[in-house]
Amino acid sequence: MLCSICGKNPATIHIQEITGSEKKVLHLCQECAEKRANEDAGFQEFNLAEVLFQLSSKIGDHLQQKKSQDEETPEPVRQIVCKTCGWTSESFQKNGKLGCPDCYKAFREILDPSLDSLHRGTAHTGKHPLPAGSAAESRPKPSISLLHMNLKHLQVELEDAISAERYEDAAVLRDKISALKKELEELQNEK
Amino acid sequence: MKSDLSNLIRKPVSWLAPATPEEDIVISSRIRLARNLADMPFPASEDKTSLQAVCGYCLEALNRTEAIADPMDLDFRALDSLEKQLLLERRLISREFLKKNDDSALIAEKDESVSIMVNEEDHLRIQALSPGLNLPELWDKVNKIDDSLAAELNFAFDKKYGYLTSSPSNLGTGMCASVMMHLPAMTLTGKMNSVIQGISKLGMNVRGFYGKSTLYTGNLYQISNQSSLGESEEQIIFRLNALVRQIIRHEKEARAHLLSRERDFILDHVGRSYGMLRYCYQISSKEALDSLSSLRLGVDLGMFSSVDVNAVNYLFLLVQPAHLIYHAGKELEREGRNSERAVIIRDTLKGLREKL
Repeated sequence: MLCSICGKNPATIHIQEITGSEKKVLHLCQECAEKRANEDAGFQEFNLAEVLFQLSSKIGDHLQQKKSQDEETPEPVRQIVCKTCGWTSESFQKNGKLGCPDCYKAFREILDPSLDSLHRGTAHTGKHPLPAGSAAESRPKPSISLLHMNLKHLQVELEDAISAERYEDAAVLRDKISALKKELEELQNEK
Repeated sequence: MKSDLSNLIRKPVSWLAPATPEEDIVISSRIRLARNLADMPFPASEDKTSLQAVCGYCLEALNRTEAIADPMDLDFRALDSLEKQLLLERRLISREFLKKNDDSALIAEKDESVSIMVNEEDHLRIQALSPGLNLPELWDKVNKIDDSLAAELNFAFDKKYGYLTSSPSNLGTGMCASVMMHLPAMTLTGKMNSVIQGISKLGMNVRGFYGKSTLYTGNLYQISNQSSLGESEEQIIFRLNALVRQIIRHEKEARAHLLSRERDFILDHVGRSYGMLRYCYQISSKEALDSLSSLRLGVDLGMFSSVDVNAVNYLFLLVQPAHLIYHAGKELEREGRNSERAVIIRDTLKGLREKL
């Protein structure tokens, strides 16, 4: 197969590109691929700036709404400023970062709509920090959910091992699973 | 101070340790937690006094808790840019961390399994690395370190938002779990496009070997969670793990297909790469990584009888700029690096024998 750019050298590199729903397959020689690599570097990065661009348009909307609602205010507040650290909505839009933990309160209005597109949910459901100063001994035992998760993992691995006829591995996994089940039972009995 | 660092070059990193046959598709796993101290400005504020204070608090807490059992002897502030590059290539620090100096610190386990960056994008970035697919164990490890630090430090946390991070993209769990996969067969058969599209629909991210670049050098793909809010750590890990297992199955199918249906094509592809690596006198980093990927595929497919897969794995690391310079023991310009790289590859591959 020859390079699809220069048509001279044999293609040694195969690149696929996705632009929207369009799909392109390119067969390139080393030379043309390097040229292309330099042109394309960083081109398709996860674009936080784009998310923030949507955000900035939302700020615009918000300010305009305010303006139309409240005609009496001669100069609408162009910027939100965090009282704790002085971070402005402008610097947030510029680099996508916040100045301090309190910024989350200050910029709540513009943050909340963007969280939905950044994440799968808008409320935290994971772990909480232990209260500061609590002693190591008072740390909770392994959570039941964690054990359940490990158990599920092991069961999938066991199925894989059996289907691949790795019976020695399967035996080890079986023992791990029964030990874990025992631990789970004990934990549940305690509760 | 520098003794620990110059020792690094003599050994393969922990995340390239021997992989079992099942793990030849997954190179390594990593889990990172972002944490910040309450009532202190984030590093983005560039408030020097506060950041120095943060650094002090964090180092003190790390000392007291012995979260890192056997720390490497290094002072991040005293490192030059080559030494930092070496740490980046070994994935102990991030690209962003290269730019940091005075107000930052790095604490790493001697065996390179855990590293903690102070004042990167967040006050604390705690990460654990391991070879193969190993997410639940890594989570257990970083979770314990996080707990021990939380007993000493007051972390910025909000009931609704979870852990507060400098960038809203890490909000919630502050966790990024990622798995580095070697997917040459799916790339060759043109299936990666649709896979990458599918992955992003699941709230997961695909990146190349060098982090954010889209060029998947060496057919290496890092799959990680993009969403950190709305799911628990366990749920994120479980979903990522299931996804990775699915991709492993597809890659295995693609390899079987290539071997049975397009045998000459794949033998030619591996053979040419092998020939080039074996007889080159100058080779660029990208060319080396791409050819090493083909060679590793050949090894995985049993095309070479006497091969140490670990030696091939180690080459992935050795051919990178800072490692080359350390290996040569002198400063090298691009040309010199290309020659030094060729020497190392030729020497390593001398013992290799083809089978097919």
